Amino acid sequence: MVTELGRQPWIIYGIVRTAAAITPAPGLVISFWVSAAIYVALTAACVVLLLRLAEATRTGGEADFAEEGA
Amino acid sequence: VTATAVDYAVVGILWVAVVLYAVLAGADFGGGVWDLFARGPRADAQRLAVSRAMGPVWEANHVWLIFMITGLFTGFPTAFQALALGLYLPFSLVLIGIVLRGAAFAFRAHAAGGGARRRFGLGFGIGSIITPFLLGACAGAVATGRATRQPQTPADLLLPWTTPFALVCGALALAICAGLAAAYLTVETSRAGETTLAEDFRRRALAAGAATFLLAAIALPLTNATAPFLWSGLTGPGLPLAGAAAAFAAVAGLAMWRRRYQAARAAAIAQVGCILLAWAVAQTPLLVPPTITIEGSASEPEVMAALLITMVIGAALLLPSLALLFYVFKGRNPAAN
Repeated sequence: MVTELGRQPWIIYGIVRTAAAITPAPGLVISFWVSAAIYVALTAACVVLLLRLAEATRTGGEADFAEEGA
Repeated sequence: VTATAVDYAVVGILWVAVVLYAVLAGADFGGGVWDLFARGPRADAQRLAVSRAMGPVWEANHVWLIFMITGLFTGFPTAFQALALGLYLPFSLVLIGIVLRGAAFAFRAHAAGGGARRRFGLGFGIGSIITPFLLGACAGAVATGRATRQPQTPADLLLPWTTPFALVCGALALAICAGLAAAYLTVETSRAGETTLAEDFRRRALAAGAATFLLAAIALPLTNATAPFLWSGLTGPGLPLAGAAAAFAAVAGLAMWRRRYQAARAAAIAQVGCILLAWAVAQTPLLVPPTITIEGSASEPEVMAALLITMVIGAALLLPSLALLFYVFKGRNPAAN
């Protein structure tokens, strides 16, 4: 956040402005919202899974690691 | 050393990365396909075999995609820009596919309950199908010379990669990835003594090989009609490599039929390499048809020289590391099983 926001309005500090570097392709707004939605969904799934793992370990049961562990 | 030689050396290294990405990450995508289509009494055993084969190395395989992107960006910025604009939508979808299948694969391993595990498995399988399909369609778009048009309307985002030729290329890429994965899995399962599983993957490899053959038979006349750059190159300088690809395909099919799994795997890898390099040679001196050439889109000679030196040093560090990774997890290492 610090590196990305602190550098604005430049995309390359002192050389190219973000506004000049933006893609001319249509649909950027959709792309933004889809990316944001994916980040939110993945974060939620990750938190839920970590809480379940913590719960399983705390209650003394076998944490449900599949054998295929990634 | 002339500037042209440096440009071509960099392009050559990038094409080698394309081949490595296809035979390594391509097999990961194919593994996801067989995970989704795991059927019968050994469905769970098949999924486990896929996970065991992919687990240790699969994130490492995406290093080649990142290498291709940064190499193209640094060495051939105008080609990069044209592709990034012309194939904006399919590349975005590919990115989503790679992220979602990776997340689904990792989450599934820790998901409690069959329902959640099935849903993550579905996400993993669907991501594994659409990603190689879209990459193949993008390759088809490049070969037809439609990938460099800057999109103006939403329809322009779809047109380059939804031609019949590009869609057949997408299906072809999917069939090739599935065939590679099945060939690798016959070796891994038979080495582990799981002969019935090896038989399952043998049947899948033969089916994928038949699908590849049929799709190639459809693609060839379409190439003649819609991808003139590719066709003239394939019937000219690319012909030896295209012929070698067909020969390796026949060898791979025959070896798989005779249960010579190691030979089948080697021939399948050679086949994919020859297909991609035939394409590379066929469209040289173009980098992105119809107008972007290798020399015309290369960065300044100083940048290209620095890039080539960096690539060589990077390879000296990366290749032994990857060799060690594969040796530890894929060699005859009893601790890995």
